[in-house]
Amino acid sequence: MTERADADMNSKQHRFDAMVGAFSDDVYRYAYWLCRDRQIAEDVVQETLLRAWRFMDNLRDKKAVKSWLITTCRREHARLYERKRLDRVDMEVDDMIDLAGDSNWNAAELRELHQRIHALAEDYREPLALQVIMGYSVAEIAETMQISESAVMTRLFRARKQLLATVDADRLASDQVRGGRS
Amino acid sequence: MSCLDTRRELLTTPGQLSREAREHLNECESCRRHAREQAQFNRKLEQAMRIPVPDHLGQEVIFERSTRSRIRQRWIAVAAGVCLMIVAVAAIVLRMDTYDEGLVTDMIAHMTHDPIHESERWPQARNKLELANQGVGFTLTHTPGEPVAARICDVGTHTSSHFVVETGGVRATAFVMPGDFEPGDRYVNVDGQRGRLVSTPQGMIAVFCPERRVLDAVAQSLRDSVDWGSA
Repeated sequence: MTERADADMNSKQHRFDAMVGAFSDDVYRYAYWLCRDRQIAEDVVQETLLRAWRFMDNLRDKKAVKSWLITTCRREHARLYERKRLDRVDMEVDDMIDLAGDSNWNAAELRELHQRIHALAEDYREPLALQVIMGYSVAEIAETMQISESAVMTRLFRARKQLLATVDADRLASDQVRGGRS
Repeated sequence: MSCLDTRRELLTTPGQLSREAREHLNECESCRRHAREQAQFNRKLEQAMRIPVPDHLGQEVIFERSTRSRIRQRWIAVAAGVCLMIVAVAAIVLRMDTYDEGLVTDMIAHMTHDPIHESERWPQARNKLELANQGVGFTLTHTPGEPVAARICDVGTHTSSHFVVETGGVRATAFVMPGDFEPGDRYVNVDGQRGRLVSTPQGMIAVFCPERRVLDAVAQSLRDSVDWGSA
């Protein structure tokens, strides 16, 4: 009986570890873009994964796991905010930029874009995070956020439009400075 | 599809372009250039949003889980302790109830085997009542109604004054027994016998009568008139 329980536990542990390995990074990033605070994001992920451990026996399908994690993460974030008004800690933006990925971008550009995303309204930031980080389709974002697909498309359009507007303005200003010097 | 719609789609769902949008891009050089710029921007956006993840994230979850597990175990131990206490208290209460119920059953069984409530009024019933009471260890300052019959009986492990009084043509049977009882006052109805038990740390008064009015009158009168310490 004990051996059987150990085997079940090992199997559960194995599946949990696999799930953490597969999804925790993206869930953390999604949580971060929900709350814009590293510490709160870690708390939200902790709660989400702890719930996942408790419901592990019901989580079999990989696609369902991903969707369940995102929905739970979203709920935990809302719950944390309901429970207490959290103070956000402003981090050094440089700490939040991964420069290892693509050397085409310099740190200043990424820092600027990071801050622009930070400044987006949550209604725009969340669908963007689901699309860019989680690779969700419009239909999946609509289902997660409980809004219509047309609302999702509008928000995604406006989010990119706002970000591009600031980037274009920066580029124009930069070009003007360079033109003035030459 | 128009240039405007294609560019709108590029901003909304760059990874899920429709067939119409793709066909338009094949035909329109300006939109193709725009699409290339968009793709570059999207890569930059992805890199900005893919923030570094703390290395300890997974380990902390596992640590927290085991901590929670220990906390849960502690809570289970506390809950088990509380449950045990509740069971112990319930057992004591049930034991008292069982004790009372057993006593009531004994009294009713005794009434069945010794139906003095059905007998004719005994000669010198009042004297016999006083003797019975003194023999058991208490006195009555006044008698509730007219005594019909009285004797000393053993009810369970208790020695009791078993007597019948009549008031307004209705008879009530009473058992008065000294002893250490949990104070209380409650009604019982066992085997069709309606009764009232008034218990004190000095003794128990039990009255049985089919009429509630007489039952209460006799029980209250006895409660007020029994003098446990004067015998």
